[in-house]
Amino acid sequence: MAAEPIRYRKLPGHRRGIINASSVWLGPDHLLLVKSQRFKEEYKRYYLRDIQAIAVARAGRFHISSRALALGALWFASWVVSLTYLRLTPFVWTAGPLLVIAWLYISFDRSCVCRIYTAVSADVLPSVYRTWTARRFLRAVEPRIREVQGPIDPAWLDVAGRRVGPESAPAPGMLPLTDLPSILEPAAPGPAAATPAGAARTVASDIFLATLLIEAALDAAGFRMNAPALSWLTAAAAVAQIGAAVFLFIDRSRGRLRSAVHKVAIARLIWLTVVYYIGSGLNAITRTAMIPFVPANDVIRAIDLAVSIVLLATGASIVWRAGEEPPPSLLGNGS
Amino acid sequence: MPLSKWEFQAGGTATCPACGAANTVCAFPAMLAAAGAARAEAALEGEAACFDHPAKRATAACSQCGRYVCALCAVELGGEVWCPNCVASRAGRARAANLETSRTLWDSVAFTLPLASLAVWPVTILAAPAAIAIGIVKWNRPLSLVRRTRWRLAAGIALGAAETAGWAWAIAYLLALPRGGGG
Repeated sequence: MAAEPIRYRKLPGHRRGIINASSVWLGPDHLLLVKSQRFKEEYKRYYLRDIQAIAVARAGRFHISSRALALGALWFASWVVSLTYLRLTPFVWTAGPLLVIAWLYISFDRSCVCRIYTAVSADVLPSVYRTWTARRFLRAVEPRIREVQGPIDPAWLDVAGRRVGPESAPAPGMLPLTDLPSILEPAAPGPAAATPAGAARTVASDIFLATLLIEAALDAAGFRMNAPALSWLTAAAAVAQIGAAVFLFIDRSRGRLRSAVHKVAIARLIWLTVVYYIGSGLNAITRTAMIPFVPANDVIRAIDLAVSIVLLATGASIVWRAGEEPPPSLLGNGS
Repeated sequence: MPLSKWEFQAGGTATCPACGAANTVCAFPAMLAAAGAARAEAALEGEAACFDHPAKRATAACSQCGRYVCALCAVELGGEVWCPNCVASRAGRARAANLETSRTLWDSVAFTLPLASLAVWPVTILAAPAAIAIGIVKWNRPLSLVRRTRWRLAAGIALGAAETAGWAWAIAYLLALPRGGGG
């Protein structure tokens, strides 16, 4: 007699690549991790009663999904069309960098690694790699596991908490903490553990803010003089700014930078792209004398100056406030 | 990087002590149960002993073959206890227990073969009949554990049939051409 097939419900998250794919499904009493290599699927089961913890850690994930590839293909098709319909060109050339910046932003700042722990394994769930997916995944899975396992005894947490302070004996009926699985073991002190939880500012963030100041100064100087050297200096500052932004993202993803100054960098990169294409478009219009215009460069320069000052003030404020606050360590909360 | 014990108090959010990244952690009671892993106890004189470990006390009987098993050997499947031998041989109702760790996706093979071979179109003369054969032979084979429909198999067969028909028409057309060189 054929066995009744198990009905699985798909859980949030699906990693689709060109060859590899991965997803997690919920069965009656277990989670099924499916890893597919186009013509073959591999399965791993995690029984709900055995799952000890699910941990989601922020981390950069630079996966090019089939959806991203489809968007890239769509952009390429639009570019081909724009060769015939020239009016589309500015839109196509604005959309391309915006898409890249959006992908970089999501990969740097909205990505994570999700691990599932049992007594004998600690596996990454490849399908849960964006923070919003992780939230939805936990919302779907956590109640089911709690339903099977029940809630954690709060007395145990009290015992665990007391371990931070002076040594104390475990409460009656509680397990000695030395018997707990390795996920709970404190990290061995080492050079990395001695580092606090990220600094408020790094060299990259300082250089980035400095380039904002330089660009603002160059924009202001541009109203009074029109020397070619000024254009070269502005371009050099922009290149330095982009480089500093990249290192700033790396610092942030590796936890060396805890302030949110990277968001200012993202905004600046988006603005740089927009201002470049708007400037190119307006220059083209002025050159062909389609409309009697106006010092387009001055208008853009004024807006750029204002944006630079606003971003500089925002970035400096973020860094200053992060410097005032203690590192976000729970030990520091006195708990 | 293991997480510190005290971090589990903070309503699911824990900060890595090394890099400062904020992690979300859902901890479950199984974390505590792990310390009490199964330990087979020694059998006293006159007590039932495990079939594979005669010195260990039996805690249950295999629901398939009836052999006694100790706490170490007992395998819990679908609310029943099985001995390791029955699980390994997938005897009786153990067959129902879904223990597969991988499956070949023949439906994807049948679907991709005629499509991918179009990139080097002469290959379709072999790939198209192969797709039809795979589609028919593997029709009743189980598909993915989580994917139910057979549309890929059907589409593979249809594509293979279309390409085969194209080849048949082309060969027939070439054969029907008037042969030159007769004077």
